[in-house]
Amino acid sequence: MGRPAGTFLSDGSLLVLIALATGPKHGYAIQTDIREFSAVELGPGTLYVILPRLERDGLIEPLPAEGRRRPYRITGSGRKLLHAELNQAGSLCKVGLRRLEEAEA
Amino acid sequence: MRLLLRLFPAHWRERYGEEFAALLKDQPRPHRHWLNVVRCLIAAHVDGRNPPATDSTEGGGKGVLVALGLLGLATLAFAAVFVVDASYTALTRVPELLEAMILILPLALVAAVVRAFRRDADQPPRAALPSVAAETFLLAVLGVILVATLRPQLGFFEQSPFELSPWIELRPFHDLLAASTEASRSEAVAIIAGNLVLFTLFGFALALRRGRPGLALFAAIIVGTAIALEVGQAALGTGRPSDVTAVVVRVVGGSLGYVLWRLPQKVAQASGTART
Repeated sequence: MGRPAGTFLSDGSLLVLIALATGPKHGYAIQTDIREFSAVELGPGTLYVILPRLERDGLIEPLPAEGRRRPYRITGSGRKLLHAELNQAGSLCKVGLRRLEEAEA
Repeated sequence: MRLLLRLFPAHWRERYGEEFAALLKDQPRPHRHWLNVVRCLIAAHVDGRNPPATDSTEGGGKGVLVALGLLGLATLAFAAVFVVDASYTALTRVPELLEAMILILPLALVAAVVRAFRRDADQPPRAALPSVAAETFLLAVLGVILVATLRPQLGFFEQSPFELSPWIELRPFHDLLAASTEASRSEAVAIIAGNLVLFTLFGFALALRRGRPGLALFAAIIVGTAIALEVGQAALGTGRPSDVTAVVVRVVGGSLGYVLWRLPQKVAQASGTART
């Protein structure tokens, strides 16, 4: 496939990492946060496809359970990857918008 | 919905079951999400082939337990041989195995490290450690088995070909039962014990490396290897007999290895359920 390094996150993983960027959250808090900042409805099943994979890849880590809910925290490498990913998305946005403007002018 | 949750793999339920059930309970209309849960179920089974690495403290504890268990197993096996084998023939086999290990271990280590780096480029090195360890262990055991089984028998080249029997022995445990001298009986015991110990280690290492192996695949690998070694002995002209006893003993050893790997988990699961 030859994707450049640092761009292997799916859209869902990206949303989850952005949700965790402000601090540890459990599943339901992640869902509501994502709904608020992106209007995306992330189903509970989808969330629990993403969380184990992010955990396996060392991008997030589980904290001790609070009752039956378990909060997750973004790790250092998760933060680094999110940074790279968002920077790349940002430069893509810039190029795309500029081209649209040029075409419309 | 509860039925759906039961269909998740056991290791997944153990780790995420509780919090996932809590999340479903938090949903305003949980039953609306059943298709979404099915998606998660499929992913859990597919991802289950590479289960997430347990956190480092737990992994370390388990690693120590595994090492102690193996040490105990080896000690018991040798003790058993000494009880049965009064003339200590098995002892003469120890340097042979050590020699094989010294030869194989660095090679296995290099191969495992290379593979780990190629496969897990985006994984922190510490997370890859358990899988590297399991891989090294498996390669080392396999290497020792190959060297110990397939290299020419001591003194083989000094023998004239005419002194060798045709050596395809299809009667199980015939060498042991028909042994006329104490020496040939000890030799038969040593061969059986060696095969048993090596394949117990092989079965254990294979289960450890694969995480949660399908039983059919596991059995196919063990039986296939056990038979292939005997065919290999004949094909390479090693001077060792192709013997059905060895195949039987290896399959028993491999199964024992699987049980040894699975048993502690069963016990842990049972005590875990008892506590909640």
